[in-house]
Amino acid sequence: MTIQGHDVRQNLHETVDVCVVGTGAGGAVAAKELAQVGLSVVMLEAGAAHDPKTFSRHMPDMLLRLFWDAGMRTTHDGSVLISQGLGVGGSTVHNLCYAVRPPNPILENWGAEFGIQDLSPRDFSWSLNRVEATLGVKPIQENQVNGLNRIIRQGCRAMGWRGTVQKHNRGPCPDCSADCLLGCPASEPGLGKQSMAVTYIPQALEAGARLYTNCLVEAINTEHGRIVGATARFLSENMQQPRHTDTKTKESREVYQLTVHSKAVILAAGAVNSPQLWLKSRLPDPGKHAGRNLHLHPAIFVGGIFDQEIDAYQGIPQSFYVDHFLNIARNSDSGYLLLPAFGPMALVALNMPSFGQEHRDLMRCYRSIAALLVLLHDRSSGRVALDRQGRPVIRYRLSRADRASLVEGLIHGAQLLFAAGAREIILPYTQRTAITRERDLDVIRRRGIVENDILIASSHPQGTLRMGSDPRKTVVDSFGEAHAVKGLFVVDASLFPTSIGVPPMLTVAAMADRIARRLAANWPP
Amino acid sequence: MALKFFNPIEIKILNVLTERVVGSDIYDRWKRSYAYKASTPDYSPTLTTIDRFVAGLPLNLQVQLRQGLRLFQWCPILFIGKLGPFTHLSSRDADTYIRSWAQSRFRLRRRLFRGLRDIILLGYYSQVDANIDHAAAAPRRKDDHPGT
Ligand SMILES: Cc1cc2nc3c(=O)[nH]c(=O)nc-3n(C[C@H](O)[C@H](O)[C@H](O)COP(=O)(O)OP(=O)(O)OC[C@H]3O[C@@H](n4cnc5c(N)ncnc54)[C@H](O)[C@@H]3O)c2cc1C
Repeated sequence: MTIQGHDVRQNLHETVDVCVVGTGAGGAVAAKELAQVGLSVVMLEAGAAHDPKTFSRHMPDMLLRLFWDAGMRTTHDGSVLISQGLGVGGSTVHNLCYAVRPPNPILENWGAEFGIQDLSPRDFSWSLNRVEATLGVKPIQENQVNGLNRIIRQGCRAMGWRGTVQKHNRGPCPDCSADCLLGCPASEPGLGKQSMAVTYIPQALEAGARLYTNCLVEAINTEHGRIVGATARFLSENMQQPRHTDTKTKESREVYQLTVHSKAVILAAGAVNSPQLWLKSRLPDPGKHAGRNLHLHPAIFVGGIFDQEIDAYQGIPQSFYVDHFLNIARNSDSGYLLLPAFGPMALVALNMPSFGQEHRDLMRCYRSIAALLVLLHDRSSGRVALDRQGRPVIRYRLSRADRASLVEGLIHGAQLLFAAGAREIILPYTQRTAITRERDLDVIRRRGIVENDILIASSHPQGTLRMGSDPRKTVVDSFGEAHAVKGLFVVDASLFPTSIGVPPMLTVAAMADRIARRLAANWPP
Repeated sequence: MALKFFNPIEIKILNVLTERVVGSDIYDRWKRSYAYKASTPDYSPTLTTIDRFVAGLPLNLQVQLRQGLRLFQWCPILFIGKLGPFTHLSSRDADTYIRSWAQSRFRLRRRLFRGLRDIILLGYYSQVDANIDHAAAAPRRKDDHPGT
């Protein structure tokens, strides 16, 4: 059963076995697994339950509907733009469906360095197999590789680098385009994007879980070191913060609350909001690590203008990627991926340098642009803290080594685009740097990575409630349970002890599967 | 349709800024287009889109934007030595002034420029007409906003 929070006009109470906070890649999986073993489960989601048929190509509207802070969430100095999903299905509703398994050396490193039990690649493949089956993960077929990805592959081959066509969690999707990242209007079970909203959530509901939408959790409640539940507020429709005054009518509006009493709370609000809730609720954390160890996979766009039309907008936006510079077996904490990248006009416009005539001339080349993202497996780590109002403040500074890697990545990206036939390279600096010959690429080294001069984006925040056996260095144990609060489990991207280096959705979902099944087997916590 | 967020001064600033950021000839041509004429007479479709977007932002971001616009309007004397507000500058001076923000040594100024530029680009390039003007390969969907 689904209860739309914006329709609620009274304070409500629930008493259940498990309260799941957030319904994204982690929360949806945990809710389904626990409901299916017969536990009573309630899911609390700050955003709305969207009907995919109402998704439009209008980017500002979709940003307001599907993203925290309407896609304008940034680090405290505005240098990194952080995209995170809001609404039932979380970031899986607008993500780009790369379904990538974690690299084995990463899992081995997490086991060895952080003492995480039962996380060998073999143990973990159990959960990965289950998640892949539910999300319908399959290889992307050759005839689904679009013009953009073919160009990137061609450049990659010409450079002699390693790259592969990946798997994805999509059913047939004839109209697929770069608008995929504004939500997929074709999404339904078996068709289009197989987000959590059309896979795990309906299965959780079918198994008896209850879902509250527009329901912002504001506190996790404990007594004597044990979970007792959570407190939430209902939000007005399409509103990201509870407001006491209706902006349209200027009438004051009562704010209604939901109080949940539960034996377990599963925290799955994403790698920014989960530590925010943790800190706001003043949950114990002996090592004082909650909110620390934030990794962002910072990414920078590099585009090429070609003589021919590529129509990168059309088709599945990302299928191939270059992993030549990510050698985790040799070097577990550095490297980067080169991912094809494009978007609707408004998004491409943001990544173009300059303004006025110069910007406009570049936009006229929209159909002839191929671009990629340098996505960094970052060693730099930041922190989520709170401001006086209890909102998250995200601090993150790139280390010198990571800046150097990004510069190298931009140069490699540009070389790949030249090898594929680009006549000019475009970089998202505020001032245009026209690069038309390979020997001009040194200009990237000279300009470097200067905050607020080059657009840096992040779609993969992670690591802020890290997992491990040592309570002095980590926040939750090998099976996601807080070291110092009985019955509190974390199942989202906050868990990762280090940057994972590859698109994280599958790992988050499989971690949630592993933790939820263990909790079910050892119920009550 | 009334705007939900911006006041008359802010509207003026945004109109001038939009013209400079998007590029004036494109903007003029677009103003003569059907979608523009079919929309509300008082405000450009870009402005109505930006207004609706900003009205949905969290309060802290709204406050920052409002302060940023005010700062932007009143600093020509400081950064290019011209008296009067930004909205009174000639096109040439307005471009010089904008460039002084874009290329400033101070992070805060670059950040403000980037924020304003990006909100305007978002508003402008999400118009179906802008897509057509740029001959984008985007197939249209039934539910596209008609030149909002
Ligand atoms: C544009 C984009 C593209 C991406 N593409 C890919 C890709 O191709 N492949 C891949 O593997 N990964 C991709 N990712 C990343 C992937 O989607 C995320 O890493 C993953 O979804 C994270 O899962 P999560 O459970 O931690 O958080 P989310 O999936 O973000 O879910 C968190 C949920 O919690 C809710 N929530 C937050 N705070 C509260 C609160 N206080 N009360 C109630 N609810 C709350 C949120 O609204 C949200 O629904 C992409 C991400 C983005 C943004």
